[in-house]
Amino acid sequence: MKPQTINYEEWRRDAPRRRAQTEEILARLGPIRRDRPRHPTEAAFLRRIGTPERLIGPDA
Amino acid sequence: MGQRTLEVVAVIEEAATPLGIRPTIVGGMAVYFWTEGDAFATYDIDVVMAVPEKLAEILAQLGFVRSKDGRHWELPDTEVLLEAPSADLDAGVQVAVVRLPSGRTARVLSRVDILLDRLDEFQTTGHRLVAQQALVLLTELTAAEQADLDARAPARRLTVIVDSMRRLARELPSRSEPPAVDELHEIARAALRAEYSPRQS
Repeated sequence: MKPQTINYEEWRRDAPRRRAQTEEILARLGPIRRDRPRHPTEAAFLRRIGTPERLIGPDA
Repeated sequence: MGQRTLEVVAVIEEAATPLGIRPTIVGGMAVYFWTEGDAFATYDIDVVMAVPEKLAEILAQLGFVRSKDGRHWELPDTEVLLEAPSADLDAGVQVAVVRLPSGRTARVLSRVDILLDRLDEFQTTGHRLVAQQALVLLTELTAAEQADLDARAPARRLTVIVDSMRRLARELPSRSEPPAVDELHEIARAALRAEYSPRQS
């Protein structure tokens, strides 16, 4: 099958609508917290750049 | 997904294409591309691509430093960390090609394929974050993508979980409470049982 082609600038113009829809759904889904274990290399990198612990999840 | 992230992968694609390698963004960054979901976005980038020695040399020339575990590539003093978890996409997987203002292109796993991956993971693990991502992706699908999802779910034994998650997505607006962790685990377990139990004649 031929790959879908997306023009980035056109895609960005629709970003606010996508973000609003995502936030509307997420508001009904409860807290966002990763429960899948994270590889230690990734976890260290994400902590270094200030990622919230709830998105880093437990160490693998 | 930020333009910078796409550009990083596009620069790698430009360097890797002569080697017959086309990196494709998968995982959480692909979810973010399709949903703009800041609430669950992190900055690590999962990319499906083979990394032969020649490409490793090119990545080093571009400034990437390979981690001791051999799976990760970091661009020092930036917020860029790549992981190449596998060399090849599964057969039949579709990608979207994003044309950037620079003229380069970056490849992202299609919305249906990242949804199938998330549903597969949710069915296996019952993890809430994965379920949340799947529900957001599900509600954004076009009619054509919904048909594609229905056509491809059986081969991955995901028909039951697709139906269950569609039902949950429909119910969400009328619910007073978010789905509980136990409920999500039960949805995943029931789907797994239905897909993998011996069929009754």
